Formats: sequence, C-alpha cells, structure tokens
Amino acid sequence: MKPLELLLVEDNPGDVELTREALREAALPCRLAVATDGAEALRVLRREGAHADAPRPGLVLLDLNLPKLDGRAVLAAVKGDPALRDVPVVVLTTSRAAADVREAYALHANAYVVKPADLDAHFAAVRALVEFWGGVVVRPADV
Amino acid sequence: MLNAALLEGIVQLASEGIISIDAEERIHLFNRGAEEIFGWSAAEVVGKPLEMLIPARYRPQHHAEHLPRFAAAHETARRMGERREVFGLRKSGEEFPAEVSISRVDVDGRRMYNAVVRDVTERRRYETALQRSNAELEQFAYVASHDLQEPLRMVASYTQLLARRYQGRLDPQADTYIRFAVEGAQRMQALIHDLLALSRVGTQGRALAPVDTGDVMAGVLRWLGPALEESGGEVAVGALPTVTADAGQLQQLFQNLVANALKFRRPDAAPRVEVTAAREGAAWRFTVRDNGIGFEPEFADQIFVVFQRLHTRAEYPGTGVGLAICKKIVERHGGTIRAESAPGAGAAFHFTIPDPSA
Repeated sequence: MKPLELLLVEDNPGDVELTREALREAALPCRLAVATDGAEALRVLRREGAHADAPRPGLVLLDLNLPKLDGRAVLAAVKGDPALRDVPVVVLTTSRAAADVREAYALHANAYVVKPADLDAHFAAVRALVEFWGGVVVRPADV
Repeated sequence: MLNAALLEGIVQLASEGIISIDAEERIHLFNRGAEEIFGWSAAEVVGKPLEMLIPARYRPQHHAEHLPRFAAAHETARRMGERREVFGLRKSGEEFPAEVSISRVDVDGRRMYNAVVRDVTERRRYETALQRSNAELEQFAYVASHDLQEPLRMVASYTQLLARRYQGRLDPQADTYIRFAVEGAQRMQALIHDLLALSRVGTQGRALAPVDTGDVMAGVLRWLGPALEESGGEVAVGALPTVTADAGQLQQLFQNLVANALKFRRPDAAPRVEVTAAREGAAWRFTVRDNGIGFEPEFADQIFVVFQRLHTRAEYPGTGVGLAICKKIVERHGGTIRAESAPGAGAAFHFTIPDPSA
C-alpha cells in the first residue's frame, strides 16, 4: 500500500498533536502535512511558493473554523477548481449543527466527521478515515 | 336568596371591574373596581353605551362577533381574552389588555349581561419580560455550552492520553490524580451535553402537529431495547391517544421517563413499567408508573429542578438534567408534570398534554 498523503487543515496545535498521536497508534502507512489556516491550505494544494514540491494529498482533513479563510471557503475553492476537485475532502469539526453539515455536503465535501469527544473514539475515527481513503477506495490518482 | 345590600357590598368590594349592560348595551351597573380600571365614575357612564369602554378599532368586531354570538350561545357564562387578546379603553384614551368574563341573566323578563373585567397590563408586561429573559438565557446556555466544549475536549483528550501512556508508569498517587482528572472532564462533557439538550427544548422545538403517542412509544421501546434486555425489564403500554405535540420532544419525554424507571429499579426485582393515558378535562393525562426504588414524597418537586439528584453518582449515574428536560417539554406543550412516590413503593410520573378537541 502506497502511503496516504494526508493534509490536515487545523489551527489548534492540541488537535494537530492528537491526530499525530492517532496516526502513530494506528501505524498505518501515511504521511502528514499540516496547514494552520485556510489560505495556507490552498497554497499547499496549489503548490504555491514554498510548497512547490508538496505532494498532492490523497485526503484533506478540514476543520471548519479557521483563521484567514475558513473551512467553508476552502471547501468551495477546492471543489470549484477543476484541477483540485477530485481531491477527497473530509470535514473534521466539533460542530454538529445541522446548518454546518448541510452546507458542507452542499459544497461537495466527501464526508463530514464530528470530532469525537472521547479519545478512543477520536483515535478510532482517524484510523477508520486513513484505512478507508488510503486502502479501501480507488482514486483517480491510483489508476 | 342573598340580600341585595349584601350583594351590592360584594360587587363594590371586588377589585375587578363589574359592569352590567342591557340587551341594547347600555351600562346599568359600574362598580368601584370598574371606576378604577377605566377612570370613569359610575355617574359618568351609567345609561351610556358600552362601546365607550372599547377601543374604536375593536368596536366593529365587538358588534359583529362577541355579543351577538354570545347572545345566541347555549352557555350562559364565558371567559374572553384567554385565547384572544381583548382590550379596554380608559377615560384617558389609553388602551389596556383585559380578561373579560361575561354571563347572561334574565332579570324580570329583561335580558342582561354582566361582565367582570380584569386589567392584565402588569401580567402581560411580566410575561413579555419573562419570555425575553428566558429566550436570552436559552441562547446564552446554547452558545456557552458550544464554546465550552472546545477547550473541554482538549482537557478530556489529553488527560485520557496521559492515562493511556503513563498509567502505571508513575506512582499510584499519580494514577489516582489522572483518574480524577479524566472522570471530571468526562462528567463535565456529559453536563454540557445535557445542558445543550435542555436549551434546545426551547430553541429548537418544532411546530406542534397531530402525533400518535402509540407510535412514539413504539419508537421509545426500540430505542430502549438493549436497556430492557439487560435489566430483564418489561414495559406494558396501554391504549394511547393522538395528541397535538412535537413528535421528537414527545419521544424524548417518554424516553427519559421510561429510562428513569429502568434505571431506578430495585436490586431484587426486574423492572415493570406501565405507560397509560386517560382523559383529564380538556387534556390527556399520561402516566409512567414503575416498581422501582421510589423516593421520599418531599422530593417530588425538587427532582424536576436541573442538576438536582437524590443519589450519589456511584449509586446511580446521571447529570440531573433528564427530568428538567421532561418538565420543559411538558410546559412547552402547555401541560403540567408531577411525580408521586414513596420509598420502595415505585414511582409514578403524571403529565398532561392539552387537547381541547375531544
């Protein structure tokens, strides 16, 4: 299995570290890159400036509430860009609000995951996401 | 037969306005209460038309609907203003919200109408202020609990991670500290979760529509299936009516009550729960009765207060929000809820859902 290139868009260092720990425990083949605001996420995806050599992510984990450019705007930009729209984007947020869920899917999010409050559940969710997007599914880049 | 002077004394003593009119709507009697409310003296209004006490914009409606309809009605007494706002007009030209009860009598062959008028200005003002402050409180609770969850999730996650990585690698005292921290964070999460649910009763309720409570209970039983199996419990459901309600909230209400009945079971007996309904005036009264541990009758009101618990968390887990949610749901539907019990004798929770139709 080729390692999954994972781009985590998350401004909270505590959450970034939790995802790192979850990946470490899962011991699945993947590489983690982190963008701490929405504008940086788009620069990474478009390989702009210092990110010219950034790999194309096999999965983007996107928080909704971000500085500069929030997650909804990032989602709209990615899904509105013919060169990027086939990159799977999974929203990973604390919000369970119906309006947020509906909006995310309307903007063509590939999935919407509420960050579990419990650590075990959180780790299990991260593991399941990497297993699914890194191993179960076939993406355009794989064929 | 009551003495006329005695009756006159009572009429003058009443703080409500008491007004008698004839079939032509001329004022015959105008007591002291009416003088205070309307600002007219009896001498100024007796013999004059009633409509001088009604704001001009309500007069056509009054003539077209209220009196003719009541004159033709079978009933001889009625209360106005409970469902629809009724307004009076003071001498000063000021309008005021009123509650009016009217009765029809025949005196010496003459048709007369009596009206008892209550000025509800103050009450309406309180109600409006109360509604506003409740709405603000709900909004605050909702926002606060959302924003509190975020840092709390960090505390909970990292204390759990600490436990996972370092349990048994520090000294036993450290393990205890970690355990308390983990439990505290988890408990606070549960509290915030339940507070959110409580605030949602007011902020995210749906419109009331006809709901078959039998279907609702069937849903509750499916949801409680695992708990029923685990406890060996049985729920007997009687014939349940269709009521006008928020189906989701009704389900939550029954769910909380039946789940409580299963939770507070006696250690030596499988839980038996009965859910029944009966008419009670213009409402349906529902009863959820169990054979559980019960409680002292003096706590029958306190248990509906948020965070009030009768047991330690070690005995029975919970946040103390469930029955507060039940109360809020019932009150949103215009009903009341109460509990009766005695230690060891099981408990019964009765609530009403108004249904004037049947």
